[in-house]
Amino acid sequence: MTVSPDRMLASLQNAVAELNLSLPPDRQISDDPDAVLYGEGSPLDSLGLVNFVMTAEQHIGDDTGADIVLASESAMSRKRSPYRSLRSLADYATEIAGQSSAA
Amino acid sequence: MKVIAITGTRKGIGRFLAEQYLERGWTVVGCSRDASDLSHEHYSHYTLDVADEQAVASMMQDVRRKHGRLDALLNNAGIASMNHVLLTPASTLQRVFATNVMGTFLFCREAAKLMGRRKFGRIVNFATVATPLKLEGEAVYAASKAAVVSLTEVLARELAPMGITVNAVGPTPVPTDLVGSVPEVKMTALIARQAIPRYGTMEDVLNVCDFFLRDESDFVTGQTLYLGGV
Repeated sequence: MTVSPDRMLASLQNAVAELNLSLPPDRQISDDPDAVLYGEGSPLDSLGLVNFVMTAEQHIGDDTGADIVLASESAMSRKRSPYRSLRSLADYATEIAGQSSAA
Repeated sequence: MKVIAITGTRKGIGRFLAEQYLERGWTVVGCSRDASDLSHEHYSHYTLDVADEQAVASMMQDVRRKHGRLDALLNNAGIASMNHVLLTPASTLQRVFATNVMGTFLFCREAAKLMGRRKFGRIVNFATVATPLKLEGEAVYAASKAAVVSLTEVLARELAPMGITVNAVGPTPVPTDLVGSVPEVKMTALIARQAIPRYGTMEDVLNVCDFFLRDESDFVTGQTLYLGGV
């Protein structure tokens, strides 16, 4: 399945919008594609990241039809973590969707 | 209507559990490697390998789209191996661990994503008395189920903040295909080591699942309940 990074990004921003509905003002997640999503300066703690990934996978599934798993062994890597920004996660999701459709 | 996922529902204990929960008015989603002849308006079957990450993720996404919820998961699918360690090929270990450990892990992870959205869930994994009894000839099977117990204990802690309990039932031998290939003399010796020396029944397993699934069991997690007094 081919899904463009922009479409993935839009799904991720939908997930952010949904989560922000239940977060207090000081813990809102930015929908800026290049803002820090997870790491220093992010409002997300580890459980928040888990919630975000859960929500994001479901939005991607509904919006694009791609049932992907966003788990990554590089999650805790500051330089390589796909969770460092919405843009990097959208790129990662695009890559994963391409792999699963090729399998 | 409550929704329960049960793995390995084509036959044996999984099939029995699926039929029981259907009778009680649950919606049951089941899976196995082969197609199932279980037909019921509230039953859906997925033909998949429980160790196939993508297939498990797709099944759970489909459950979410069709039912919007998942209340419980019974990780029943499992395979055994009876052989002396010196006669056991590495491929046996890979096969047994793929189904028993990888399958349990993947279903726990994907089910928790559905359950976590509603802050409620009950997961029951399947252990075995072969682990605490340290059964000779079942090194690979017992080790795989020891891993399941360990997963159960750690996941109980990781998933507790999401309102999900994770427990395990450790059945004694129940007369199913899984123990069918084991010599009778071995079975008799095994059963003699139980506090209550008899074969288990499917109802015994159901009883423990019922206990873990009860709303009142929301303070019970990370436990492995062995049957037969083992």
